[in-house]
Order: sequence, then C-alpha cells, then structure tokens
Amino acid sequence: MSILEVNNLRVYYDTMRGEVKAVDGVSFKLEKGEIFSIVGESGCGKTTTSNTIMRILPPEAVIKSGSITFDGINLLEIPEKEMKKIRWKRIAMVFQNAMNALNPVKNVGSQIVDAITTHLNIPEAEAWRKVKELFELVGLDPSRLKDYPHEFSGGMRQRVFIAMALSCDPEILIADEPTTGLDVIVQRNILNLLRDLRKKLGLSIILITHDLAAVAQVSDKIAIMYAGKIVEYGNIYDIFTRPRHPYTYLLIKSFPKIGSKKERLVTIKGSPPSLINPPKGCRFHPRCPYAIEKCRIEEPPLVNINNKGLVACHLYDQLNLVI
Amino acid sequence: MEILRVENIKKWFPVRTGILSSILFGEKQFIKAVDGVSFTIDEGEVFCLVGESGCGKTTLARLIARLIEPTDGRIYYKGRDIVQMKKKEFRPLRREIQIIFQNPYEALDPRMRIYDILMEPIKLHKKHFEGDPDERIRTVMRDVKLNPDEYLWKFPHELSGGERQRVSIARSLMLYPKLLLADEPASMLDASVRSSILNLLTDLREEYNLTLLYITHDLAQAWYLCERIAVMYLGVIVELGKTDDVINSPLHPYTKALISNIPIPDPRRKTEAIEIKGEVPSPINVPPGCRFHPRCPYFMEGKCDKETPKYLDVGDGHIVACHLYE
Repeated sequence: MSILEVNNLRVYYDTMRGEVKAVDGVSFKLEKGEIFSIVGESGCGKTTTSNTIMRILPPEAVIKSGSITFDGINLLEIPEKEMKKIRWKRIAMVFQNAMNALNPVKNVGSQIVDAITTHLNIPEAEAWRKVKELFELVGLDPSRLKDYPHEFSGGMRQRVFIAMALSCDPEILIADEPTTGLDVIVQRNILNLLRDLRKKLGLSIILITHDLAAVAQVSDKIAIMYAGKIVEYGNIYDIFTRPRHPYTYLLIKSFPKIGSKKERLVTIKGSPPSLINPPKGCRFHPRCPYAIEKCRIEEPPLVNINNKGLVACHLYDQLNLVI
Repeated sequence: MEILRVENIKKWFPVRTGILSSILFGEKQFIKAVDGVSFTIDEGEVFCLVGESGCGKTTLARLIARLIEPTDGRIYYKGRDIVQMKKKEFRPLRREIQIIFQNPYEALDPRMRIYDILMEPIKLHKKHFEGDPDERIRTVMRDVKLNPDEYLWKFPHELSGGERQRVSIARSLMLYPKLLLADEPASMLDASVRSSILNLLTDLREEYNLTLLYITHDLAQAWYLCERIAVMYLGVIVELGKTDDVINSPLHPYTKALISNIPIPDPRRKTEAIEIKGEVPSPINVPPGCRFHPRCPYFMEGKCDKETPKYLDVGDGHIVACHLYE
C-alpha cells in the first residue's frame, strides 16, 4: 500500500535570469516500510522534490501543478495550519549538511527537547525521558545528553539529527544527502542505522542522494532523476543489472568498481544542462551516445516495462544495456 | 628511477590559545597533521595517498609543493633536498612540481579570463619559456579536451565544475611539469563528470610523461588510477604497497575496515563491512602506541597502547605498521 503518492509535480523557481524548471513532471509512490531513493546529480531537482513534500520551499518557488497525497490528503492544498500537524509529526526530514546546523552554545539534549515540546504537548521531564530513548535508538550514549555539539564528531551529529527527526514518531522520514561529507566507515554506519530504524519502527524512508554506490546497499526502489525529471524508476536489482535508460547505464559504468576487472571508465560527455532553457526533446539527448533524430524533437514518455519499472527513453526496447 | 623521496616529514601546527591558558597550562599544544611520513616515488609512477578527512594527506601535498614549511624531516626531489633550499633556488623547480587543488570553484581567479589564467605561469617564468605563448595555451587547452576558440575568452563562472577542473589541470601543465600533485581533483564533481577527469589524468600522464601523486579519500579512485597506494591514518602511513596487494590482501586492520566499507554500486554484491567503532580522534591528542588502537578490533592490551608499531616489509614492497605481523 502506498503511503505517499507524488503525481505530476512541477516546481519552478522565478529568478532574475528566467524560470528555472527545477522539478518538471515528477511522479512516484512510496510504499509503506520501504526505502526509496531518489538519485541524481547536483541541480537535478531532488532536493526541491523533498522540500515540496515538506512544504518548506523558498518564496521564489512556484508549484505549477501536481499533487502530493498522504493519507488521503493532498499536501499541496491544505492550509499551513493543517500542514503543521503533519510536518515533523508525521513526515520528518533530516536536512543536507544538518550536522553543521546545531546550536553551538546549547547542549544537544535540550535542542531535541525544544523540538519535542514545540510539536507535542508534553511536560519537559517527559521530553527528556523521550530524548534518552531516542539517543539509545540511534546508537548514541545517553550519558552524553548534556554535551555540546563541538564535542560530537560529524557522524554523531548526524545521529543527533536523525534522533531529532524521529522525536515525534513520524511515519515517513526524508533523508536529504545524509552521508555526504562523512568518511566511508561512518557513511556505512549511518546507512545501516537507517535500515535498522526502518525495521524497528516500520518507517518509510525517502533517501535523497547523489551517491549511486551508497543507495545500492540499502534501497528497495530507486528513481534516477536527470534535469528535473525522473528518467528511470524501478526495483534496485533491475536497475543495477538491466538499466533501460542510457543515463542510468552510463552512470553505473562510470564508477570504478573495486574488485572487478580494471577497464577504462565510461564517461558522459558535457555536463548537466541549465534548467532555464532545458534541451528540447529528451533532456539527455545532447549527452547521449545513442541519440537519434526523434530524441531531439520529441520528449519521451515514462513508460511501464512489464510492471518491472518505468523508463523515459525512445530507445528503451532497442538498446541492450547490460551491466 | 626515484624522483621524490620523503623522509620522516612532520608538520605540527600550533594550537592558538590565550595568554592565560598558556600560563596556567604551560605546554603548548600542536595539531600533528603529518607526524613522521616516509615514502619514495619513482619517475613515471602514479602513487596514491588514501585516507579519511583529517589524516594529513592534503598537508603532505602542500609540504611537497613547498607551499608550507615542514616542522621536521627531509624532502628530496631528484636527489636535492628542497626543504633546506633557499626560495630562489627552489624557483626553477616550481616549474617541475605543480599542484591541482580539490575545489575548482576556488582555485581560479573569478576576474580573470581563461586565457589570462593560463598566461600567468608563462608570465611568472618568462625567462625560461620558449616558443609562442598563445600557441602553447591553445595546445594545452586541446590536451585537456577543451576547445580553445570556445573557452579562451570566458570567465570561470561561465564554466561548469568539470570544465573548471580541466582549466586548473591545463594551468598546471603550461610549463611541462615533471611531478604533478593532484589533491582530490575529482571529488567535488558530479558522478557523470568525475570519470572523465580520471580518464583525462590517465591520458595526460602518458602524453606528458608525468609522475603523479594522487590524493584521495576514495579507494575506488585509487584502485583505478594508481600503481602503488599508501594508506594514511592520523598523520602517519599505516600501510603501503602495490595497489593490487593492498586492495586484494590488506594487512592493517584499518585498511581492511576501509576496504570492506567501500560502497559498491552493485546490489548483488552486498559486502560484509567490518564494523569499526568511533571516529578518527583529534590530531591534538594522538593516542599512544598504535594510533588506531582505540578503534581496532584486534587490540592487544599492553602492546598496542604502549608501543609504536614498526614498519615491516612482508615482501614485494608491501609495508605495514601493525603489531599483529611482528
């Protein structure tokens, strides 16, 4: 059963240089209890998507169309007062670079207590008990509740933020680049923590990341975003063994894969396009080695392949892309 | 033939404290960023320094480029000690030892056009530059796969991250360097651009006959590019050897943990990661004995926390510093 459904979402930014089509027709479903990853390079619209779900977009962002259905409610239509009952209490988020956003002059325990008492109507003593439980849940030593942020390492501060996000027992956790900027060993620990939390709490998790290698280890399903659109969507095994979109294929092939045969890395020419004037037709066509005339003119629809996934490519049934 | 020899190099940065605390607590504190590192690089080799943030790998590159002075130790470039050298003596060597920085957004002057950025090294060393500067600039642009007619008159802000990194690489190549120090040149770039920079460096190394010191936190990049790897932890090298030896049969518990934790972009290969507790301690209070002992799963009390492990050659230049192998 899907717990969250995003349908044909379009979010544009009004800027001095023109309209930036950051998210341009994105649809996906988050099933209950699954880890769903949105993968893409910087500027592909993945953070805008998650910020729209939380309804925390900056003023210059305009939601052009679409719906986000959560528990039968369209989050884009309800007034802010109603949204406040959902934000953080039912859908919580760990922000990108959050680990640098703790208040340096306040101990971490009381920062989480603040978050709890703001959202839930419970006495402070009870909130402190709750924080202690949360600390244990995310693998932090409860004796360090009264320590200050500078006494925590990067990975531990990320755990503090995960604890804070879980403080009101949400049903959905959105984690925006939770491992970026952490060392490999710590990255792995944080991803394992997310996986454990899903199991223990029955959480549904949306993982936003640029790191294809990291998602391979923890996700159930992934969506690959390119220039504001989802180009491929499916089960993690299908995507990594039999990608249908050239972008997915080239991206996977461009990672050096330790332990396999050393062969020259695949490269993708050029760089991601500007979203003010995205290329016509398929947005990937200027960089795609397989592009044909049709790709320059006509935008490929997102088609269903034997109920195994979705892909937006004119050539999906002609190319034989096997990893 | 050996081109670079680093001997027991150290860089300690003093920790700034107030007058009061220096009177009360006496001893001055130091951040021991690099704390006794030795290795050699052969001509034409690609040598890689791998380590997590704060292990001292960037400081080491800056020391070799002589951007900062070491606290102790020697660095020999082609047999000549560059630490003891006067600035003036070192200047000609500056042409041969070049560095590429991690962040292509900060490494280029935003007010200069690409042409001027590339002209700068020629201006600084004009006495020793032969040939037509314009022709050289165009050649180097083509070498880094940028079309000179399209890019020469642009400003850095008009370029993407990958293109900027290509310009930084072009600048470092202007004066035909011998030794190129590349400090995480691909780490800040998007995945789709990263591999093209790695391939470019591989090609340039052939074309320019370069010796490359490649610094990265990403073992996968090191595996792809390098012939030998040195793994650093908290200011020292803990393991060094041929890439395949280090990756396929790592000896030091830290290297083992690091390799088992590399995420592999393939869900079919779910590796069992070795769990390591805690994070890298502060380089101000370095643990006694083996620096890795507080996190090591094979910790031997009375040994690892007391004695500093010696370097042991287990064969074929595969060197490890760990009491398990003594």
